[in-house]
Amino acid sequence: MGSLTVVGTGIQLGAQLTPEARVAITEADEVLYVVTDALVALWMERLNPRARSLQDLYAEGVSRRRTYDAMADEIMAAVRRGRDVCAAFYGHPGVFVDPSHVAIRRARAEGYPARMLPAVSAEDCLFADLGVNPGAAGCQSYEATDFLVRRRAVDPSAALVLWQVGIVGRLDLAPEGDRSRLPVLVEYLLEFYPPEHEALLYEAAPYPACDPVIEDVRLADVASAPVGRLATMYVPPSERRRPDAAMLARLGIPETHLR
Amino acid sequence: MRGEHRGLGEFLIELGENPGQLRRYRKDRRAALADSGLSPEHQQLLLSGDVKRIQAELQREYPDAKVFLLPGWDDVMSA
Ligand SMILES: C[S@@+](CC[C@H](N)C(=O)[O-])C[C@H]1O[C@@H](n2cnc3c(N)ncnc32)[C@H](O)[C@@H]1O
Repeated sequence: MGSLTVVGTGIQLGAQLTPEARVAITEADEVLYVVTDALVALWMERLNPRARSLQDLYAEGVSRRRTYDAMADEIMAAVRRGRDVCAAFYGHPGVFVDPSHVAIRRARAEGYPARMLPAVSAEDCLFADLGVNPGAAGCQSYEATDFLVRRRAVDPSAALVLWQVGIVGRLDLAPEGDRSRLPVLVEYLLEFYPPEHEALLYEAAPYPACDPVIEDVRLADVASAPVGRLATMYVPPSERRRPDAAMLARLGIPETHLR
Repeated sequence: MRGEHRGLGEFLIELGENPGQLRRYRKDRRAALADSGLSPEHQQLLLSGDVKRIQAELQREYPDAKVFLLPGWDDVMSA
């Protein structure tokens, strides 16, 4: 009987793969992977010669949603053939990735054992490389297009992480990225933040010998900044939220205990 | 000329796979590179830590692997 294990490769080649995920890859009958880098692909195929990429399912002009459905279909087809299947995605397999969750749900619905293993996401790397503690003021995390389309509310006293800024406004594959809608993003952000507020454009290092790329940029200048295809944007809080005196009293917390 | 030296991609995969070696590399890049078997040009390139240049070089090393230039570090779209 088939089974499904969904793993993440981490963001940086090699060192961020957990021991458990590694075994899931090396011992699978079939490995289907989605990674952003050819060297990682090469490494996958070394870890397991029965590994193949799902990258070809991406096509320009086809919505990412359809591509993701096709990926889940491929994964399920292998499971139904009775294989122990490992689906590997870059970063954390369940963070800003859909087909991984869809495949797990479908496999379980059809009675196959299915499990997702946690992994290192781009946001995990961001917290480490930028020295950010998401617990200090709270942290909002949105996909950039969704953020705009739904006019997500922003609390400027908490941190903000925006994913997929390099393709904001696109619902299909944009291999080279697409900056054309960045002015719309800037305009929306300026409803909440002052124009001189500084954000960071962040790209984690894909290989162990490389440094992350970190650009400081004023919000007003984001549209003309070098936003990479894989960039994540970090907007630090622009104001402090005062503790509520009545709530402090109800909880019995003296104000002096809060910084 | 490259033939007698180790490939850049090979070296990066080995570095990723071997946390002890990675730790030594992070502690002292120069010393680790001197022992790496990489060509002097590739050692210089890694010392720069410059992802885009490293990927361009990997693309030369693996001409059939299109994904280096696909979703990422070639970055920036022209304005
Ligand atoms: C489809 S999501 C996949 C996220 C991935 N599953 C993870 O756990 O990080 C792609 C987005 O992840 C972020 N991302 C991926 N690789 C990154 C990197 N090397 N540095 C910074 N952000 C990255 C970017 O926001 C990018 O648009």
